[in-house]
Amino acid sequence: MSVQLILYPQSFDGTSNPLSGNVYEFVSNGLSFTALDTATSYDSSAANASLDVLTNEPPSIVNTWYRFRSTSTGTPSLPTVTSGNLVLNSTTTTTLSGIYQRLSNLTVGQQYTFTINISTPAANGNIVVGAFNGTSPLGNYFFAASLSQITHSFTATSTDNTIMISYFNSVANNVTISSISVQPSAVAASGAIQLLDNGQVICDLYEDEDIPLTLSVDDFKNVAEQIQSYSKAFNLPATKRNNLIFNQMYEITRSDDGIIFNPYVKTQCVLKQDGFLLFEGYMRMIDVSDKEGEISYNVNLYSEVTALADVLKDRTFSDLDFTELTHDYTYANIRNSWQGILALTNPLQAGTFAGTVGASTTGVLKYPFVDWNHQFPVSSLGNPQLPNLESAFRPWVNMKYLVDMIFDAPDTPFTYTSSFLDGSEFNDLYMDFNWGSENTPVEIDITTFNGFYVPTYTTSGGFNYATTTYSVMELSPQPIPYIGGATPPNYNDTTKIITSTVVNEGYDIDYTYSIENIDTVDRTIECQWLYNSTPINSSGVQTLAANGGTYNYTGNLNQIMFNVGDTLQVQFRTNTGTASKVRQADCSGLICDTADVVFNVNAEAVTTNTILQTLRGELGQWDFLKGIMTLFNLVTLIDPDNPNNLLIETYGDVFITGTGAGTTLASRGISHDWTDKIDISQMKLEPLTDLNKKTIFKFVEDDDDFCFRRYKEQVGGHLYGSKKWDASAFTVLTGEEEIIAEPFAATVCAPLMPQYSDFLIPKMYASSDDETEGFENSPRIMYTNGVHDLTSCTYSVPAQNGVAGDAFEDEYLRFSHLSEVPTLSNTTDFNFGECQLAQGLGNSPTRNMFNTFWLPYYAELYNPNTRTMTIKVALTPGDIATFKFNDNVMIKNREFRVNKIDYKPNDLATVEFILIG
Amino acid sequence: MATIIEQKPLYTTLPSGQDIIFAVSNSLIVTTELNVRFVAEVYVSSELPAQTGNLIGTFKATPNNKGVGIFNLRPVLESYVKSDNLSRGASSSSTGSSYKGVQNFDLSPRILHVVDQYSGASNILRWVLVKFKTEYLDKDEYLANGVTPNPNYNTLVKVQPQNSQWLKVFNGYLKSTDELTQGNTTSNATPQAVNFGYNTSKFHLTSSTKQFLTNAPATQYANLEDYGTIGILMLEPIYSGQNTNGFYKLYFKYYDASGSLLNEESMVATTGTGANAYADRQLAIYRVLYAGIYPANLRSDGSTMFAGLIAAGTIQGGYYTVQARRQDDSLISQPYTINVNCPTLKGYAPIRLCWLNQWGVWDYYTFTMKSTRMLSTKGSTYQQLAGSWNDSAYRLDSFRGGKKAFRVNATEKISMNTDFVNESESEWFEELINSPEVYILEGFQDDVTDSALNQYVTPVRLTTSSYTRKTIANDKLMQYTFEVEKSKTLRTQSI
Repeated sequence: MSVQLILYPQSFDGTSNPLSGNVYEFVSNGLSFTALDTATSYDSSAANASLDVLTNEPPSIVNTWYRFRSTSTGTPSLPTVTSGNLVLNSTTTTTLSGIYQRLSNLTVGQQYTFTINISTPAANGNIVVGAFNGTSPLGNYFFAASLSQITHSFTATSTDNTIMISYFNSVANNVTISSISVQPSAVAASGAIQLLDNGQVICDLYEDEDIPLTLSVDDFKNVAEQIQSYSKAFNLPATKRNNLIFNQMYEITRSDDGIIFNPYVKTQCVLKQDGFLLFEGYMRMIDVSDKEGEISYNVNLYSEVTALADVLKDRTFSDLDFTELTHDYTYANIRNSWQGILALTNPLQAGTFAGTVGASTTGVLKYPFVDWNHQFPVSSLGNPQLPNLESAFRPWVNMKYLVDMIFDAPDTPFTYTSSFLDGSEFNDLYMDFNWGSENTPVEIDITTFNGFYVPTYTTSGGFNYATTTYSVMELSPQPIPYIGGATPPNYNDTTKIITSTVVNEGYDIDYTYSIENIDTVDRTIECQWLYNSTPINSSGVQTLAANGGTYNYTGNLNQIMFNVGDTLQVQFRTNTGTASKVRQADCSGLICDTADVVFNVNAEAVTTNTILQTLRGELGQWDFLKGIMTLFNLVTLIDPDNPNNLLIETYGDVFITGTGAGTTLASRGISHDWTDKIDISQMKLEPLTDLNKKTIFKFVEDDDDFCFRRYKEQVGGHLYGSKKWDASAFTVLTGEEEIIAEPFAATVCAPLMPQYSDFLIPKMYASSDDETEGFENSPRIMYTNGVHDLTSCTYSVPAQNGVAGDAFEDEYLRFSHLSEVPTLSNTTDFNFGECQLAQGLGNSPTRNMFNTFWLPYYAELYNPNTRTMTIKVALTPGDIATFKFNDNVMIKNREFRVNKIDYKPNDLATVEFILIG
Repeated sequence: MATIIEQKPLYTTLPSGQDIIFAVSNSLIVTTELNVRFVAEVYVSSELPAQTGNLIGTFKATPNNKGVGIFNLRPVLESYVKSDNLSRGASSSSTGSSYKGVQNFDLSPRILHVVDQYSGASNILRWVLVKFKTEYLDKDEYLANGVTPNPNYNTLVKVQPQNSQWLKVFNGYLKSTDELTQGNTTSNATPQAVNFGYNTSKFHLTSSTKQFLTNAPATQYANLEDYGTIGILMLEPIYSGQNTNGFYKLYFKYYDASGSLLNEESMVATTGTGANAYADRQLAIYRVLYAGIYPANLRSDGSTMFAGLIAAGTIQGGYYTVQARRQDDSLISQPYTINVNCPTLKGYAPIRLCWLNQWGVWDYYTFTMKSTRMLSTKGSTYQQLAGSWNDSAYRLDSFRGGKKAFRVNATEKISMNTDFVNESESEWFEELINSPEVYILEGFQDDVTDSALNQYVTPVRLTTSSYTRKTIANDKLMQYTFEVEKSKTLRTQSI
């Protein structure tokens, strides 16, 4: 046996074959054709029916059958299923009918073979077998329908080529197909390369190539970084086999034709020795060297977590699709969110993490009361007043939901399992999706209203006459009997003026006002639109002919109402003359309208784009995950049963706890006894003298955050939420290190104002020159403490977006960095360390992030008995394959943890053990 | 103006180890368009005509100072042909070769060297087609009518494909002494004048001077237990009604030690004997044919004639000739003589090496003189902890502790000597020194039922790194010593 480096095709996403028990089968539902009777169908009248079908009814859902038939010269029955067999039908005219399916997980460049078993052949006609890349045919082939089996090969040009099986006949004679299969062809196109399952290939290695591996999941001594397994760079010879695998990368005339080895694409690989799996990860092509004609490919191997970082590091939250969270931004809905029943615009679809499929509410987005800009006037009753909803209520999204969305993205080849992330505490954490310093959601929902004027149906009950001074033209109160209609909510039926109740409300108005002259002499008319009393559009002076002359003031108007209280109105006036002669037009007694105005009103709502196009859309996905890992001291391990699944747990759960009780090693969770394997001829024990004397655990410092800055100034520079670990007793140590839960910042929680002692809320606003305002804050993590009933005050909420507010609201959704407010003995503080809390919050809990997640590790790290022991160990490939880095190892009479293994096949491994004090 | 192939290989059958040069031009596009490149789409197939799915790569060259793009496809194509180590097995569509009268199958092919009669060649030869195109950046905003927007505007477009001939590329190489020929050199204007290549016509079996695929001397020596094959380059398909000039059979004449003809027989190349039918002429696997012609092959190929001669003891010390013939018995190759060695009385264990020769098939030589085998071991040790630490009480366990072997890997080196050889053999041995694949081939033996035949071929590496060609003038009697090392180490138990 030997060392084998096995590469997967670059298009391989880690899933062998999710469709069937047969790892080679790529057709879904090709044996019993379940529910094909009711599959989506399309009737094509085009001459080229197959192209027409793929264009107009594309197989948007992979691994699902679609049906079609031609109707240009006759209409056969759609494909049906009888006794688990597919029946393709024909009629007495030339027709085509068939089924098609978009496959998945194909390997580009791999040849695949159709196999179609026909249980009841037809004496005439043809079975047409084709493959397509989108709508581009890879080839259509005709086979006699009288055959009992049809086989045909095609080479995949994408991972999701579409196959189509159709029946072409001009005689009414159905054909019955018992199964359809697509499997990889046994032989590659060139016949020169040996393929394993899923297109894997085994690379040629240099003679006695023993690839040195450094295996590790987390360097015990390096607090800030998690070092993963990797190999040193090594060479692969340019043998014929390797040349085929790497497509002659050394050849400078080589050009990318879409199916060649791409050094910019990760290549999944496994390294085996004597059949044992040593390493599973990715191979990176570093360079190709040609030295006196001897060509070598220089590569190295690296592990999964590194690859996860690679996958995510360029992605931001704007790459995630939060469309399903779209909802109306109204006070009623904000209150819904407090109860976890935020009403969504659309029901949740399959695959959602926001709740139950089909549900129209969600609990993953909440609107807690947060002091975003600290601009709350106090009423005469001494209660705070909200000038608008945005000053207190901005969206926070559940952390677990965000993690799930990141891992569920189509291009993320990993899943995860984590009892910590699935735990109840983490599930109650939310991250703010503030939209920055401006109180303006970007995206808006447009609502259309159509108002009319009917002279016999007005507020005054009579005609609206123009005078020599401007007066408003009006619309009738809506709806009008027999006509209907609706004016916008902010249109006042009495004043006929639109008054904005929310900032940046937009109006797109298509208007037609008809004015008539019933005087016996010519008159003039002049119309205008006014925004905040300023003309923004004018008709100019128009002449109305005597005795019934009319003029239509018509056009389109776009106006943003920048502030609450801004007004919009349309006016008219006439020249001097007999009064009550020029008016909004009549209909000669008929029930009809003489003004028709369409208002397209932009009413705000929080949508996906609102969230993403502002601040949080710029947040990197990997930064987000890394911040969580730092805050909770999480460690990632590769799932031994599934290399594409990451196990994410806290350091303590992985390395420290978990040992059981009992007299045997196994019962105490020590799974390895390497006593007889160590080479005692040379051993090195090292104290961890390169540790830092001081370590500061902290969040990102949001310098614009007034409360955070003020707290720092008042307590002598201590950062809110931080923890200092001081090992001054270890006098040999020097240096200082910072552990920063970047990108998250700490949030000061305090009463909204000192006089409201139980109105405890997160506070984050900027302040300068006694002016307070919102700012583009770093992401915050807060825990939901539930709805709190206020006793110290009530607060008023204005009407906004067409929904009433509440003048005496007496409850709010409370968020804080504490699991209970006020704190109890077992309260969790999601800050790193203890600090003086604001009045009303209680005593600073000891169950904080440092004490819970970092102290067990630091207690071991800064222990005078802790040392590293480096020793050679006679490890076999089997030992490596079965070893997990959270396994503890018994050697002689002590238990050790393994920090790092330098493993070289066929040699003694150098192992760095941690002897825990 | 179409893309023009200005230069191409002179011959359509060529070894992959020679420079495979194509020069293409397209003066109109080169002079009028931007970002011009010549594109070569290379198709490799085991069958003619190749399917388009066999595109193995696209290559681009920039026009040079003469506006010509030059491609050398050797580095690419040599990866697609390789040596044959296994004989062809029977599949649903064709009859396979056989070993000791039992047919080989695709799923369980046997090693090539022990094949009875004939076998096709799976890997040594491939059909190759190159489609040349000219690529440029289309900067025309409108089509020729000056009105319709050009859909290709500002994109790279490929135009005017020109196909090469179908080439047959096999796994050979050229030495600097191999004479190349050029096209028509009598006229400077003749385009073909620049074409060059190696003329493989000496392997085209048409007359009694033509060769099998080897540079070995026509006189060989072999023991009765020695296996071996020769390779025949099928420049035209096998004999059939459609091709009466094709190769039909190998003809054997057996002589005793005194040179008297003992008997003669034919080994007809048919589908039943592992060769091909005319219908398979488009398959690359039958464009090179292997034939087992050495004594051990003949002993088990189903013919009783050679076995009878052995039983009679008449062939020992004698020799036999083998020569290719057409169906009308006209001779189409030179005769090859195989002298059957007398059993050695000195007790030397013969060692038969086989190696990949210049033309990609196998040559053999049996070293009948003194040979020595040296076994060396290599391993790691570690100092084990003494005593028992993981028990109810500490036990001395005297077997524990001290220096233990972590692993022991044994490597075997074999030094072997030739008998006295002549100058042609001396020259021939240079290919052994240069060969990338060398094996020790075991001789005829009785196999256990369902034997995997793994004992016959042992991969070795020639550790003799220098070779002095000897001549009669310099050295009088010539004898050589070679040293090989078995490639596979002997793995013993791990501790």
